[in-house]
Amino acid sequence: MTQAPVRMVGLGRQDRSDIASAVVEASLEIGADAQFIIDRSEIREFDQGMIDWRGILESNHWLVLSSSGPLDGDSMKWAWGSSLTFAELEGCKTAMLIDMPEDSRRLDEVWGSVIERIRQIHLLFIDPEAMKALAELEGTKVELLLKEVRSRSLVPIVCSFDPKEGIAHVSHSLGHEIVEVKERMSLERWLAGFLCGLPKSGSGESGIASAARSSPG
Amino acid sequence: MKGDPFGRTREAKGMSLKLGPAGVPLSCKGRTIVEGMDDITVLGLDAMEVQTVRTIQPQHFDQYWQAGILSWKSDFEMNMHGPYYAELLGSKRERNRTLSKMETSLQAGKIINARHLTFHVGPYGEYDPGPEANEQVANVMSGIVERVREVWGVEEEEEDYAAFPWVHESEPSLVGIETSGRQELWGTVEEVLEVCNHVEGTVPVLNMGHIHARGHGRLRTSEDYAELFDQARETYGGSTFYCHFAGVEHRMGNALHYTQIKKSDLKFEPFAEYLAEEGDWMDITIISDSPLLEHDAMYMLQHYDKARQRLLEIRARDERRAKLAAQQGIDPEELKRREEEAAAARKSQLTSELEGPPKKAPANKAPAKEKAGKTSE
Repeated sequence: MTQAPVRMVGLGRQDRSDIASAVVEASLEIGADAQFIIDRSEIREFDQGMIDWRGILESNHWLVLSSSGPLDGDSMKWAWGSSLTFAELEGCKTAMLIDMPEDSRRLDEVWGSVIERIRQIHLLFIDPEAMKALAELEGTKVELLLKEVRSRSLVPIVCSFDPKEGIAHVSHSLGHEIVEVKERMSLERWLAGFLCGLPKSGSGESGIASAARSSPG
Repeated sequence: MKGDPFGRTREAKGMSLKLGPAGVPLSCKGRTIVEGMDDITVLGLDAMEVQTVRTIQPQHFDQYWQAGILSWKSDFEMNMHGPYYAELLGSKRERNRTLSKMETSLQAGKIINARHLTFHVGPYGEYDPGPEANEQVANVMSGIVERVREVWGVEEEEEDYAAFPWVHESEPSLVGIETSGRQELWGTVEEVLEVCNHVEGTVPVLNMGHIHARGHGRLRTSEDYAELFDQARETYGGSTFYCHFAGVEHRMGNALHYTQIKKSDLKFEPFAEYLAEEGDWMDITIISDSPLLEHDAMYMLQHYDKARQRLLEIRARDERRAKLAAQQGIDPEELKRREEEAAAARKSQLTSELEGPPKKAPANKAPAKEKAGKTSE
């Protein structure tokens, strides 16, 4: 019996230049049933009131968001907040991807927005480039950041992936995994594989490790 | 904005209950605190807890002050939550870092007219759970209470504080000490109550999700809540409580993560039942810190209203029965027994009417098995 593909929706910029868009595109490549909430367009503002949140989030495994969403204008800011709430209502898990904003001085602001919504987040991915600055903000060491954020916020999964080393760090409610990924792959590709692997492998310790190791497609 | 827009009151029998979300409502189109307060009031709620910020910038100051004025002129209760993580039992450096973050909350708390400032204590650090750790927390908390009073201002500087009428006309914010949801963090119910009992100006913050998780799912019935508040009444003695409520997933006495109330084994109904039936001595604020902030605050309000309604119905029925019994010259218990008998008789009559007369077995019909046999012949 073939398994149904993992379903996800992404709220990415219209020009697809953000990390959430990159992960949704990588997921499509490995066979996920993925789509964007906002169509590709040159126009920055859109009417977020026109989005049928329930319809679009219903029966999806993941909602994928970038932390820099609230910095991308009012429409995106409101859509970003609404998507988190409707995902919670519809039982769709949220993956929040923290990357360094274009203006790195605004990381503090971005992190503040994420903390405000931390209870609606099920998976937090931190871009290796943002690790050092975030560790400073949190007053901890880089190597302890994932564990600390996980225990402080109670987000079920907090993870990162270093594509140069090919090593994924995953902190979760049952422990911490350091997984070496044999195949060379980009950060987006690893995260797409992890998101697609999790619903199949389960949320147990070995399931999480197996999803972090897996590279379907 | 004053009072409840729907004319309801939750101050029956002297009890004061305030309900609201931890932050600007998720459904609020604007994201400012004042816009959030408007939305909360429209929903029939009357409290809000604001999350702390790293530094008070001019735009924050303006927002906080407007919110303070609005709460001062209405019955709306503003509260503030300190840093989401603390290390008050850590090394001197860790403690000072936490205290400097808390200082921002104290300053903001004054501007916003916060009635409660809620703080975590953090990991046990080098201490073992016990009197020494509690004493250290009590010392730090005394210092925080003192600092709150300093920040709140002195009467001689009245003119300096003309823009903050609450500074002189109401009490400084109470310092809330929150229960924790993990075994490695200071903050069992006993620890929190003990420190609050010893430090004037503090109030226990009973985070029901944390208490439930840490107690391996201990809050299941209204009796469990009665036990918790009896414990609080005996140890701490006060009647002012500040609570957080959210669904929680837990394992081995540790909170794993927060969920909406409907998805958790921590239910609000028993708490609502306890409040409606036995909460008349309390002055209580309940903050929804669930992922569905105001949605779950409304859910709690509805359950509380239902519990009160149910209680009122029971009381009205008892009063009517007592009156009737007096008229008939019989004991109310006897009347209750007769009413129950009559109700049971009515029920059985109704059941038999619905089922109809008992069916007789058809005499001239052959059993189905035989008929089938005949057909096949």
